[in-house]
Amino acid sequence: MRKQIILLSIFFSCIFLCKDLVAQTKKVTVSGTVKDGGTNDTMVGVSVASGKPLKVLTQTDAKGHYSVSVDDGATLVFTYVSYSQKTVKLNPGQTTLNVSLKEDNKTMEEVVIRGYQKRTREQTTGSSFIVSGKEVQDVPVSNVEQLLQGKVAGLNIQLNTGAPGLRGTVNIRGLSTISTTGAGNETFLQPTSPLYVIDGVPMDADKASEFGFQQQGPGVSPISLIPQEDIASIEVLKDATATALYGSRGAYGVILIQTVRGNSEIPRIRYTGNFYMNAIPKLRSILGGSNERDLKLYQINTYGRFDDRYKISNTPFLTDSLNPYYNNSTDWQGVFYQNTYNQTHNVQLDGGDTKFSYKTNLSYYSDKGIIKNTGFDRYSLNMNMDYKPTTRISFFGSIRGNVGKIKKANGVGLLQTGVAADGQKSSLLPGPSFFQATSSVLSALQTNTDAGPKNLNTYIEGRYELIPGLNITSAASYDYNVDTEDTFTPAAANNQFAKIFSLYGYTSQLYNRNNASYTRSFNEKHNLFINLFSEMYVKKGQSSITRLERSPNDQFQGPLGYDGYYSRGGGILTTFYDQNQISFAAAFTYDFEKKYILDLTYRIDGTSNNGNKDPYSKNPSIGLKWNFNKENWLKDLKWLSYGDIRVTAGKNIFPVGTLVDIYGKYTPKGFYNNNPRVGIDYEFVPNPLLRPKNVTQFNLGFDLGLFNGKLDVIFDTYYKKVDNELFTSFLSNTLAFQKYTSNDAALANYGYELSFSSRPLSKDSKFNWTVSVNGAWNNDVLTKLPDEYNGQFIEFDIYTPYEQHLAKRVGRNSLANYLFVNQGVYDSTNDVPIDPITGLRYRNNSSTNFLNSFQGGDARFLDANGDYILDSRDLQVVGNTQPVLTGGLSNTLSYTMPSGSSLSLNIYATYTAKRSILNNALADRLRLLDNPFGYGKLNNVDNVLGANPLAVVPVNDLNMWTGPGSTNAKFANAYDYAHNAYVNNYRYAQTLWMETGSYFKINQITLSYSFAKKMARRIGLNNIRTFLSASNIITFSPYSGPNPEGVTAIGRDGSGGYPVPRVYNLGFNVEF
Amino acid sequence: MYNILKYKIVPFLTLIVVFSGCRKIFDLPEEKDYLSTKMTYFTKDFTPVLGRLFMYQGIFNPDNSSFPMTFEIINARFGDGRSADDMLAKKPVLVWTQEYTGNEKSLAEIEAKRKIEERPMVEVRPSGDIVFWPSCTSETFKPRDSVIYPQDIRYFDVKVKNSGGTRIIKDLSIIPSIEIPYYPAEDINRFNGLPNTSTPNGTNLVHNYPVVFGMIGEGTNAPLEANGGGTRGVVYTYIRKVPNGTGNSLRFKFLNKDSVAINPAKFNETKWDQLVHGFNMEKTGEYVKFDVAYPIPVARIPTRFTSGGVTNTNGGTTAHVEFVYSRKGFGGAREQGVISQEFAIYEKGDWEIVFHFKTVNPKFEDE
Repeated sequence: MRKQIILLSIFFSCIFLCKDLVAQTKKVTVSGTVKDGGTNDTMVGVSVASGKPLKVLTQTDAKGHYSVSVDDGATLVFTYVSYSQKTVKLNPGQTTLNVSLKEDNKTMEEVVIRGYQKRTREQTTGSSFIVSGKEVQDVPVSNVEQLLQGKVAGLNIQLNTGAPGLRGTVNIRGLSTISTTGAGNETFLQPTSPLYVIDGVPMDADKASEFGFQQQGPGVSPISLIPQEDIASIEVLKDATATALYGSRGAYGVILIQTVRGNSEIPRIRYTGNFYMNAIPKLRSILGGSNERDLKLYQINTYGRFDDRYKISNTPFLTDSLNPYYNNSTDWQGVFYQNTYNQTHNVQLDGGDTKFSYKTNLSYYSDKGIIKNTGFDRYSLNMNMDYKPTTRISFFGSIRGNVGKIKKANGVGLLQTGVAADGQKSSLLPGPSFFQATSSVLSALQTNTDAGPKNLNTYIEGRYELIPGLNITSAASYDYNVDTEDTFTPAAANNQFAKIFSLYGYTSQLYNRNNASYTRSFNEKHNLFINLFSEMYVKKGQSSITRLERSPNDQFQGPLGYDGYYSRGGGILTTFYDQNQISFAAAFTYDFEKKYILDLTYRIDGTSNNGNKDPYSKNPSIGLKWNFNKENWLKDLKWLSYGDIRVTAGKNIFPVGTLVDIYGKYTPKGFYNNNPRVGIDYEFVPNPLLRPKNVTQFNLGFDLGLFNGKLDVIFDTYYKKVDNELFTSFLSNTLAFQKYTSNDAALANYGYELSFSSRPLSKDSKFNWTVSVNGAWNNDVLTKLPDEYNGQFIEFDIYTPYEQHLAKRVGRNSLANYLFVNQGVYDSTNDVPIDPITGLRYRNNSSTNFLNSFQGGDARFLDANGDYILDSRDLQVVGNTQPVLTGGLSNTLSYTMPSGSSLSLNIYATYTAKRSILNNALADRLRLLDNPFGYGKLNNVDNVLGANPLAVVPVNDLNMWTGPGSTNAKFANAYDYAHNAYVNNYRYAQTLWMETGSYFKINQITLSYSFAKKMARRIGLNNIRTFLSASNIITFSPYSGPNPEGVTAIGRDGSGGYPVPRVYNLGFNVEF
Repeated sequence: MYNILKYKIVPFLTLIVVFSGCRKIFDLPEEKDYLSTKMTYFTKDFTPVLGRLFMYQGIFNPDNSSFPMTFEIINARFGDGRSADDMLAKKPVLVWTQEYTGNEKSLAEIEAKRKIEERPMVEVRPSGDIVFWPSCTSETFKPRDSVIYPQDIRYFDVKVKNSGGTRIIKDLSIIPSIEIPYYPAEDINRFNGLPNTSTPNGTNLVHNYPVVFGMIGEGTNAPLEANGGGTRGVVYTYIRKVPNGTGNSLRFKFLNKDSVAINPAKFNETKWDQLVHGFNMEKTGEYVKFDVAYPIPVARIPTRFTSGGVTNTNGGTTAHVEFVYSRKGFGGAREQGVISQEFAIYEKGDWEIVFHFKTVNPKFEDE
């Protein structure tokens, strides 16, 4: 023992001695000022480094001044984020050095992070893209993700909900799953969001939404809890080599978020405030008052059957127009929607020097939704600190505490079906008032929700340089998240009995990473980098609910006093999990003169979500890169700043499947001989061979920098194969079990990504103009289904009125629709085909009823099998629910005034093309005309005359059949409700609703003004910037619905969604 | 040399772009039409009645296979393996080209809506429906008897094809019944087509009866019944062929208990023009005759001539005739007597429908 201590101390003393031996030459103190080459402002926080390897010695202070003590004649290196590095060799005896830094426009020299290690982009082979924190500041959002929309080629973000605090869908490089749950408009595609790594801590953004729309609990993604002001940079990793080291969860791509670090010797306080308005987008226009009544009576008088005329007199809302109860013109949508005014405040304190720096970010965000009684508030306090006592030891620690509060009215998560249903009420009915309120209105407006996640995340990392080039790092984080929801529905809103719902859930993640890396150069030519690390996760989560019906009164919202008979109890939800994961990884990089680069990684992942027969999977990757601009024969090209070609291939996994899939579900099965029995649930047969989803990617790309930063081009093409996709097959009914979960499905994506960015003006110009355009073309193909399906599986949706089935057919896009094909409208009854055998007209269903025959003005449905009967045999596989082309463009123009103030205008736009979406909102709108009598449910009796009068919407803007001669009509006669009841012209399952989901959207326009430093200082501030921004301004689209983006992940535009508001914002950045 | 190399970069990068566009290099499966392994017929045993159109519709279960598909009857055979291809011989049949409405003004107008085509007697449609045309007669098919021998059963297979492949659905069988040319046909033995004697060696003939109401028996002064027996009245309906005609006629005749024709004019309130969809009414003292199109009804479409009229939207399978007269009853009240019959005739020809007041004549005179 003693011997070991002695040996160790000798070892360490040697190391320290060696270090001291190096610094033995004459020292001089150099000082000077660093200025921005463009604006001529002094720059704060520029790092000054020297030596070999480079050591940061100091940073410039608030006046841009620095002072360092270095060897005489040393080389000083000035670096600042997003500015090009400047290297100056001191003349012997020189003690002052003023430098000016130029803003860096080269993508190649960005610092990227690979496998938790910082590298320069030039030396890595993977495909990635960096968005700086500046680009995600000027529009207040609850979820910073949505500002990435259209900024990164291949990152497809669809803002499909405007619900505050909730997120849209995020996919990198196409589709990664074909698994859907739910039905109708609520068919939910399993989210496959990329893995987020925030300051080194992996986080699962789908945590709150993986169980679909109808999930219980607040449903707020942890990503919504990160204030945008705290973000320094975001890097999106796309191909297998880049994500290889994030292995076990990196299969869907990885997004790295770096938060702001302390970066100023003088403590700084930066304040950002936003004051913004959420404006209601265009809603459905409806016919009000007597227009509504007249239209309904016109329908009945023109098209009604004999009995219908008689029914008019039994329907008071149609006849009793003088009755004040039926003599209204209520705007029901107005009851639920509102414009809201909101604010956010963010204070950031930072300071410190090279030895110790700290940052604290305090943020308040509030967003009142445009649907009343909805909203999201967030309070967060994030702190981090860097401590580097010597150049060889460093610590980084952070704590993030966030509290979110969400109000969801009576909707669940993403849907507001209650509001949608009420918004369709007849305008003839009186609006809600003190004396008159319907319970559905009250339940939307007065349901009292207190819900939200509370999240605490801690992280600590220690790093030690054992010998030069060899670093060991150990990091640990613990993340604890509590979700609570308490919902109280007052008596008046729930058939005169109050009810209580409460949810409590937690998720926790313990994470540890240990890492050893070694860099070495031989002869300045051969460079080696080796990184070995292990990673471990322990993840747990559990939620439980309580449901109490008929509590005593509205004042007492407590747990006591409820009706045990009606209460349905609760208990632990089946969403509970307990996962462990351990991984070992190794990375090796070799480059020759930074010209030829080889990256190899290998990773072994073991997860408890795999079948217990083989929990480990092995994931290799290889990457090659050729920086051809460094070749001698291209060195002289002035116009080529950089150029490289990358080829990568690799494999990644994502654990899928639950404990139930692997081990089966066991339930109490009563008593036998007084002994309790626990037996297996026969729904699912356990599959101990379950494997994780396997994503193999091949990527080929090149980067070009041309004309000295005037044009940057990044191109990638890839082939991404998703194997072992989870698929539940139905077993033969002769077996004991019903369903079997296997890994027998697979799909593939292939496509291109292209980004251009250009700064066409000269660097010395007062104007700075940046244009960037990117686009990604992705095709997905289903390649495999379980053998027994022989290449096609139809996900039937038969329990909802929608009946819009999903088709999964091998060889075509993975998620297609299975619909009736609408080919227009029969101009007259003579155009309807006649069955030559029976002489009967083409008809709907096999029904013998003559009224089911199609007639002039009806939709022309394709009779695919030629039996002159329209039934499920005529359904066809059509369309592609996933977008093929996505991308965006941005345009930034800034002007620096002679005074030093600057004005800048940013315009961001996004586009999506080649996608089919189902305009169910339009279908709903036309179907409103099907029920002029307002048949509905009353006191649990279906089909009561006049029980549920609905609004009618004007349809005269549509190209509708009006009589023989309307040859090019697209829509069948919607007024003929009596006939529609037989032929169902406006069935949901038809291609009439399948429209192109292409759109071009101007996301954001920001006009900002930075006051000159001189002016700011005059009022005692360091910096003032003010900006006006607007987001979701306008969408150009051939789509006939309100918003082609506000659709679910499988392209259903239901009326129950939450519209995306327009946001107008006034914001300030102030730096003290 | 430099320049050459410099500009080689450009085509090289272009090559990268082009190369990736080719789907084939990824070896992805091609999309094919789906052909389920589980496709089947709900009904595999067909029991058509010969001499009339029999279509089995909606019996093919494609299990979501993609239409259009082609269907073909193959391997037609008897149970003992003899070829049964004779049933696939083409014969002329009537097919519709336009819709029959019931409002046609002449026989020619109806005939213009259908045409003669040569079709196999047994046909499978592109939807998988199996059609037995009226050209299936006992000339080709041996009608079933009360005992069916396996060697007499006709079998066939159906070959289904689309771009996803081919499947054969095997062993569909046909067990036809002898022609029964009209409905109601209680008077026909459905195995041999002879008069129905209720039991094989029985002597009691079974008859069809019309619906009779409001009639008073002549001499009984009691309500006349169609199947009352004795003095309560017996009325038979005979549907039978008349020799020497054009093949397009139908006539109605009434016989009294002496089998002497009753003048149809006695049914004074009958709507003769709405009786059947016939033309050129010829009314004599013995019968009323129309030129009609066969079969009756020509298509299963509800018209004013079919049972229940147009409001019976599920109807159209049988025609309906109604003969009405009125007389002054006791106390001066006007009483209406009605005799009506639902019927269908499947075979073209010159037919007559005879109502025979077997035991009691109706009373037409006023009280």
